[in-house]
Amino acid sequence: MAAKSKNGNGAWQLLQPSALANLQNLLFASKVIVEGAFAGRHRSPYKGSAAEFIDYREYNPGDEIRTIDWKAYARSDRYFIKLFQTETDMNGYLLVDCSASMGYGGPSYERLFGKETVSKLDYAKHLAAAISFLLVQQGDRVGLTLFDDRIRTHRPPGGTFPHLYTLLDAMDKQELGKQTSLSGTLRETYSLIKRRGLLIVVSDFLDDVDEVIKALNMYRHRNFEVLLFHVMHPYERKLPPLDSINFVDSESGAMMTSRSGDIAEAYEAEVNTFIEGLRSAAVARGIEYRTVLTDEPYSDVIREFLLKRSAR
Amino acid sequence: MNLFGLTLANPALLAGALALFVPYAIHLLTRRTPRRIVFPTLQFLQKAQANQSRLFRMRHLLLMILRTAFILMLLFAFLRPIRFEGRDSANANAEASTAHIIVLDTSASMGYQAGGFSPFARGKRLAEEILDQIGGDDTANLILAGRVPRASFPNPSANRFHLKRDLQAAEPTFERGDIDAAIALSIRQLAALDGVAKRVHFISDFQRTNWAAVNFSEMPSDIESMFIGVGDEDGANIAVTSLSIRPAAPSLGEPVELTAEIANFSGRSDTVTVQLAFDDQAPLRREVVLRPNAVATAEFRFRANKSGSFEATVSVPVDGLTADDSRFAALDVSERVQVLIISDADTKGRESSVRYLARALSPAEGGVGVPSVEVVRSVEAEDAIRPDTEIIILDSVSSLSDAAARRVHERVLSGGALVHFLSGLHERTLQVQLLAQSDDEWPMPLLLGSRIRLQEGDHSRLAQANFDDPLLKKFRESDDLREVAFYSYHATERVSGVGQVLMRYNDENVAMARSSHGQGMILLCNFSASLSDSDLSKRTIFVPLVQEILKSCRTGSSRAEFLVGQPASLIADRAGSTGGFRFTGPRGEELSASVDQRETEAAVLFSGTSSPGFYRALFDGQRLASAAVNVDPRESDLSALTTDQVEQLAAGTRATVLTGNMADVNALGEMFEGRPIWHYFAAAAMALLVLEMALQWMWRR
Repeated sequence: MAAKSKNGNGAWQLLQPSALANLQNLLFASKVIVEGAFAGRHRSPYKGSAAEFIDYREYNPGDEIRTIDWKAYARSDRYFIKLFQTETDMNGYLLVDCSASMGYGGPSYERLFGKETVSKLDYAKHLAAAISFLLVQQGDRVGLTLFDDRIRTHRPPGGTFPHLYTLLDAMDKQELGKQTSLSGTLRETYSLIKRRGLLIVVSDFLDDVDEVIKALNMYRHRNFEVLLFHVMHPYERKLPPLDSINFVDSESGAMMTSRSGDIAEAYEAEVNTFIEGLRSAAVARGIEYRTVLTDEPYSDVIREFLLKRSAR
Repeated sequence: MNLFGLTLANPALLAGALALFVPYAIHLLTRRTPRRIVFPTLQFLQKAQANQSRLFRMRHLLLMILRTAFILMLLFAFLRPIRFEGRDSANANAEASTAHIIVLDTSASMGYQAGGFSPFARGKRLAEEILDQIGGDDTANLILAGRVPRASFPNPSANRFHLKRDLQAAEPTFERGDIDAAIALSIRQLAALDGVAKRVHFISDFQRTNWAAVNFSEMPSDIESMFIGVGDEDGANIAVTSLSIRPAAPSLGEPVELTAEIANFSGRSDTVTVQLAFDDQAPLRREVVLRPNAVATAEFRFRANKSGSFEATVSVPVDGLTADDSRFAALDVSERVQVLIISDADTKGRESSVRYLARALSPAEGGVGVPSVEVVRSVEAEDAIRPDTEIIILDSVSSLSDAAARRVHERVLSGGALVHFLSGLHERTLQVQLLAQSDDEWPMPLLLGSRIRLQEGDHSRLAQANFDDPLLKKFRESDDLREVAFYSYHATERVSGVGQVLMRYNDENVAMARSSHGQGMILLCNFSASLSDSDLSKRTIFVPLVQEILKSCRTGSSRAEFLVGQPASLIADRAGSTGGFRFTGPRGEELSASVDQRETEAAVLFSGTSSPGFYRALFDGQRLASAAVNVDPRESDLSALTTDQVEQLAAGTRATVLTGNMADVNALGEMFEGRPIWHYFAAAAMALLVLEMALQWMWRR
């Protein structure tokens, strides 16, 4: 997953050609009509004469006379107004969690797990990179916010490949941070975002769920479409197969010793409860939620996500 | 090396016990040095642990116990433990040498054979096994426990060859085993040894009648006792356990009653044919129904139609124990019963009791079976008392010479009877004289007081009588005895504990009493046949009473019953030199015997008897007399002590009991070599492993 590209450019390796190849024929479409200054492949909430005819409606007093379709009047002897939908570009805002808890997995865990696994942060970076590429490729604009307990990097949306490069470069250079404060970051970012659009949060959501949902509510009130990618390591969803483990909290440094076999079942139940709580809270607010395990190809995750959205 | 009562064949691996700490070590190590993982968050772990910790602590504890038990079982499997069945394994591998004494029961019951091997054959096999198994430095001895225990060596010896030879030659006897004597001999032999372990192996059927009273209290604590049972669990046996002949020495033509007791020592009812055979005559037969574990009698009535010495054999069909299927009795039939009346009374007068007595004794003079009555005065008594005098009657005797009194004492002692009518004035003097001549052994059930003579017209009557006694049994239904009037008799004082009172007067004075003395009996009649003392002789009851007295005087056996293993004796009616005598045993084998030649007879003593049957004295090829030797009837009851009872019997000693099915050769081999039980531990270890895996699997689900 993290294999380097032939040209050795560290930023582009995140795009993983094999994974992106699967996305070539997919249309990343947003269900929500976003505002945009440029026409794109997303439906514009602004109806006018510029773009694509979508329907008729009867003329009402106050409507502009120029919008009357005279040909329709000639055929039907009634006044109709033509309705148009303008295709415009979309602003995508990627929020990628870089807190310490996202460092779980990766090469340093290989001896413990007995196999190579990717860290949650690496996975999140790859996922965010793929989404960024996809959006820029189809003419949309994408911005990026990297955070832990505060915003570490913020890039306003842009629609060019050089812009994309800066985003990927920023992600590539971002190291693990400290504690997570997703809710705080969401509130902080809210003030930095000028236009509504698609908010994509890639995080492990190890924060106060209620506070996170409250913060997301603000975006929903501005009619943002919100996508949550809950990144989890397989040995986070289930405990690693080790007898006795001294667990060290990645963010607080607290320690706890236990046998995974003893608490595995209860742990899994607790995690599921947490996931379910987050999912139900998100769905209740029209927020898309997807749990992503780091051993799943991110392209599959995106494709599945898009297919699911297009079915709506 | 011993551990928990087990002997370890591979003690070097005991160091592996350290492995027992492995689970604990693992437990501790895994607790204190777990793998360190930086985990995203502890919030779910802490909640999970809070819910699961108690349950899993218990699971941990259970797993730790299982693993410890697993290692313990595995360790024991490798240590190759050996269990010495029923033995004090602490001594099983004692380094000091051991002196073994094998006490092999040779009593008659060991010869029981109901298919397969007899207990004795099994016992020999086990004794041989013991000799094979004991260590090279050990010593051993063999004691054959018959009536007299016989040891192969004076002390335990290393000469196994000789011991085995003795063992091979050993045969069950017809004797009753004297276990106490065998124990005493064992203790005596082992007491002389120091610095060695001591062990006595008792190999027996542990017959209840033989062992129940055995005393182990003298068994020293340093001697280990091993009880190896070889008896048959179902020792069913039917035996002739007793013969009684009444009268014991009948006269020619006299009716004789032979009663045989047939004992059924089994839980099943049976009907058997009991056969009585005299010499070569045709046998008499009786069918007898035997209840389970009960005794029945077979009665044979006959008359002796010729005098002489006869051999009676009563037998039942042959069963597992043949030794007691026949019982033997010697019967001497005399021409006539010799009765001697010693009296100083006037034999002619009306008041003379002698005349009435003589007539009552021999009412039909000269007839077949009629006793020969001789009346003599006291001065002639010494010469008149002969060995064949069966009954001596004293009536109105003024005095006896010391020699005559001595002869009376001797005659009674050797089986004769004395009927003493206390009719004279000197009876007390006579009693003292007899007491003196018997070296104060003369039994006196009564002390005589003054003579009572009632007033004219007054009389006493009999008020109490023991009608259960054979002498008076026939008079139970009639009032004849009560109607007899007695005018004169002695005041009496009962001597408690001596003899028995048969009749009393209405004034509580004793009218008749009896006591036994040696092989004979003494009957004291505190009345007289004289008409001046009573009207007895005028009564119709007089003759029957005298006849019953006569009969009762002859119920005691004139022959002692001899048991196998004991000396046997007989009186041969033959005077003269001992030359010409020949002695044979039951199978006709020639025997030696000591002969005490007397004036008219010879006393023959067989110093030892080894089998049941007749031991005979022959003269010029003719049988003069026989002595019947029988198996001790206590040998017939084959019921054995249970293991618990044997343990209880030997309580207080270091005893080990191998009885019942355990005492086969394999069990004995295991007893000496031990039974390897490592595989049980291995199996247990595997079972624990499987259990642990099953639990782990179950918990993971």
